[in-house]
Amino acid sequence: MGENTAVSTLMAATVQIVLLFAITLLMLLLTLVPALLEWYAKTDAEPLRVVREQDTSIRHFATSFRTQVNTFFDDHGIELDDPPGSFNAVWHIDEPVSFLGAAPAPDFSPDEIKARRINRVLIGTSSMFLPGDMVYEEEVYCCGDLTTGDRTAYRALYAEREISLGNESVVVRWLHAGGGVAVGAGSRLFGRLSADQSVTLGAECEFERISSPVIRFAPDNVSPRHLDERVTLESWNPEQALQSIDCDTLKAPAALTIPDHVRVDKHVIAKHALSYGAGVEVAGDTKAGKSLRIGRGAVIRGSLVCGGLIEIGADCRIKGPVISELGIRIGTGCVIGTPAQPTTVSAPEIAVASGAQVSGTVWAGASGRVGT
Amino acid sequence: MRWRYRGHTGRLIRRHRALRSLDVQTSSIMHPLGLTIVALALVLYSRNVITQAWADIIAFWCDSTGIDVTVSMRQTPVGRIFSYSVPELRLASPLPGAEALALSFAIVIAAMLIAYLCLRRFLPLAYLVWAIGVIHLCAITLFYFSPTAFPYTIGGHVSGSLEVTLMLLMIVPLILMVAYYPLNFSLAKKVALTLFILLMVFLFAPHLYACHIVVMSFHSVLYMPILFAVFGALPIMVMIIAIYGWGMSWEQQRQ
Amino acid sequence: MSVHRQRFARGLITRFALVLGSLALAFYGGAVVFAAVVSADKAAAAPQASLFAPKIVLGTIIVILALFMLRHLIFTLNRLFGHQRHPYLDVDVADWPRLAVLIPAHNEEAVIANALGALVDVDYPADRLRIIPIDDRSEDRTWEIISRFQRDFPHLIHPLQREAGGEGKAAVIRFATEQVDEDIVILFDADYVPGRGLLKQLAAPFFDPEVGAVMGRVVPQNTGTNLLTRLLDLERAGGYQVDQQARMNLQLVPQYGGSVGGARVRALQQVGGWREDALAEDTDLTYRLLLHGYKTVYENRSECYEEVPENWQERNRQIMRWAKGHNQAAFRYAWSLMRTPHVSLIERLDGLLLLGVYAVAPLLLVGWVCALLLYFNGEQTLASVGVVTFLFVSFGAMGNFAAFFEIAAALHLDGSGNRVRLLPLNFFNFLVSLVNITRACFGLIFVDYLLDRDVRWAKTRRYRR
Repeated sequence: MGENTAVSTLMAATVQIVLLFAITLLMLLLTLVPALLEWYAKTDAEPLRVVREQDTSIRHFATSFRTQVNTFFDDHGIELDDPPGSFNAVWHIDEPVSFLGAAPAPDFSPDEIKARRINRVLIGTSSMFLPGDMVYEEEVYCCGDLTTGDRTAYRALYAEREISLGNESVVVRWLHAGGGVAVGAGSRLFGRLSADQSVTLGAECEFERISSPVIRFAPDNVSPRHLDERVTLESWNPEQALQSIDCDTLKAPAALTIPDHVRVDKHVIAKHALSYGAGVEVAGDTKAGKSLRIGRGAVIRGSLVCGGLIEIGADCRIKGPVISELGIRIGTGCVIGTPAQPTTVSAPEIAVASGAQVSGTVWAGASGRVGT
Repeated sequence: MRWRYRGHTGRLIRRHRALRSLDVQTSSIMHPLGLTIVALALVLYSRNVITQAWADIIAFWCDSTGIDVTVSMRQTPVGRIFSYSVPELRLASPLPGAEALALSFAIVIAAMLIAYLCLRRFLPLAYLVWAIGVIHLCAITLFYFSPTAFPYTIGGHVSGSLEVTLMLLMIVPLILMVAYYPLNFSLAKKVALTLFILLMVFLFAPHLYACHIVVMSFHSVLYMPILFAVFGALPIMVMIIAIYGWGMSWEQQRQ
Repeated sequence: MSVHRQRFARGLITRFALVLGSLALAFYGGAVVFAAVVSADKAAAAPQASLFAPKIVLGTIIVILALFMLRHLIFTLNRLFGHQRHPYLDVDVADWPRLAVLIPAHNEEAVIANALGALVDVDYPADRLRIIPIDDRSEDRTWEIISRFQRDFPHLIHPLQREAGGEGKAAVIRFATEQVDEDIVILFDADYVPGRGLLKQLAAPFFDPEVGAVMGRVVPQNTGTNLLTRLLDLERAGGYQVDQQARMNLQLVPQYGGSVGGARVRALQQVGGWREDALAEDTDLTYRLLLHGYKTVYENRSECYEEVPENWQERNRQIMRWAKGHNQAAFRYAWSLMRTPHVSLIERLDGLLLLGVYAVAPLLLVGWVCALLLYFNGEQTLASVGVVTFLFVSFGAMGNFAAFFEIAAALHLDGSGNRVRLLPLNFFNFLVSLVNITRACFGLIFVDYLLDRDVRWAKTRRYRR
């Protein structure tokens, strides 16, 4: 009997030991269940999607919309001279589409006029006028010239020829014209603005990303003046000792000021502030760590890159690109890039004085503004 | 905003992952500070309750498994104003005999050989087996040549390990302060994750060390070094990281 | 909120991380001192030999690890909340520089066609681009495939065939670079399939005259093959999405990675070109450029697929090669880095830490040994501090010594779903890396240097069929 008691005690202890280990292991495994399940089930084992065909072009959305318009025409068997009509066809965003045909002005319903909101995609096959003081919540396509009234907001606009936006317009997503774009004063252009010929922004416009062979900023008062015949400039001899990181590049460990009317034949790097005097001609690229100031009438045949603010004086000629990590101020009469060699001006904040001109892309990450 | 960031197919356009970052919001700072302070305060305030519960759990399992142990609480001062109590265990710490040493040696060598021959396909497991083998061989060597030089008792091992676990409980809020609280999870999720980690560590640790007691009581303190090095803080850390990883996979709040 | 205020707010986060990390460092230092004092008391009460040297070594290693943890904490918080620098990303129209794209190829018949097919389709002015595949003594159909592409695209493809010369990627690239007269060389491995916009993204930073090299992000393509590839995917994510980008944000030392990247030819010539005796020519170049005043730029947006090793043996070879090469660069350039006038103090510090990442593995193992010695000597408290510290780091990535929270943050930003749950299993990857990096370090010192052996290059196996 004593033996039986000992055996049963031993068995009970063994059971308890097994139970202890089982509970301990279960607790650990419980927390590992998500990891083990994911290992086994592979619910998230695909490689990150790297889109080879990713189109970062400014015209991407406009081109995509244009393709949808073509598809719309094909799906509904529409010819360009067909009469207007409304469709409850399913656009991708499940909104109705109005095919305006050649009507010069859309025929809005009394409810729409009262609410001052149009929530239909508008497709016109000739030049069109959109009345002002309205909100156009969906895209607008126009085969000809598109003219709009003042104080109006648009989601997106596409015209095969010219676009003329009224004053104080707002474009939320993108705008593209096959010809030129003229934007009224005080307008706000979020997103993308592109034109195959030219863009002209009125005074006090705000913008984000613009691309065109010629972009003029408030040219009414001032236009870039033709620079006088360049005098022969003396080659710059630095007063302070500079590091030479290669045969074509000079590096200043501190701030650097280059006097007026000299020629610089190399690339220049300054660790802190860099200032070019008036009339300076620089053959290479420029980099400044803290701030970069370009004097009036300078000619820069390379790029300008700065970790801080870039201030470009009036009447400068710059090949580009112009890149700042803080902001760029472009003086009146400046010309950056040319239609034959367009370039990019890029910074979080860009302020452009009236009369300046850029060929290529102006990209303000946070805010772009045109002066008066 | 929705009007602006909705694509023409109706979906919201998200920033590319390469350019993404998190906005600095009030919660980015208040959550880490507030939750850390609250969680730390919770652990500090209930530290003696925690350690008493650990003592009770260990005492229960020792009693259930027939191990003769006396459990009391020992106050450990830290400076002049702070102190914490730790379970103090008194129980036999059997030394390994010659047979146990020989058997253990043979098993370790066999395991390392098998790891080398059969487990090369899964190399990490082989490395782990070898690491355990090396540590255990050191222990075998020590006990073979100088068994009385081994400085620890089972009670001391468990007390020390529980002290370390208490420190880990205090470190968990600090880890989450930088690794989880600033992120875009709801406050409820952050609280839930914190409590779940603390609860699991609180429950797991005494059971783990009860297992240590069982192993060493029924065999010998020969196994103490590998229990300390590999089967002590490591499973607890695995648990913390596993729960943290699970928490990171929860759905975020959209910015 | 204006840009200035946003930056200020983001700068606060970084400063907060710095203060917090310093407190953590102080806490750890205090813990070490406390444990040492406690163990010294015990040693005094119970007289037995107190192991002074292991204590010092262990304490030092803990401080070094804490320093690395602090570094990665700052990186993580900066990447999550700080100001993200992508200054060159918006350049989409410009007078683009002349580009030579080099593709070293040795027995690459399985993959070279895809790479060349992608490159002839890129969005880059054709008159500014030359694609130069270099057949390095291939024994398969590599040259035949390259020749076919040359016939179809004679204005773009200008292949080279290498019959003699040193082994290794650096030797091949050096051979090719000596024959280009373009402004920029861009390097791709033969298994990379670049996107259409990638070349412009990689070329744009070179409008900055201070930029000597550029590096994009490699994304594993064979992620789902097995556990190893999934763990390497986590490691790559942490290394690029957080670590490299944070170093770019903070203007530290982003590392040129040897592929999906490029260098300015003028800068290359200035620093002596590619070194054939460099096992990690990418790390080597990064530091030579840095010492000469050039910067390396990291472009997180410039992504390209790559293949990661699919078995542990391949992984071992890869990590050992990286470790040897990296430590080789550390031996060569650490002292010069401490003295060069071209870098700021913070760049110097980060550059030294970066050079030291592959030296940490043997230190870690030494730390483990010290902790065990102290344990066997009766100093459990101090040993426990060591063990816990080492465990904290062992769920991260060994290569750049990224902590587990850095990997988690990277996956968070990538928008990844459940793969972050694999984090505890990364202990295995860490363990394997730890052992093999240590093997590589000892091999480099005690075999290669002492026996004056040439370091050898092992090509990573291709898996795509």
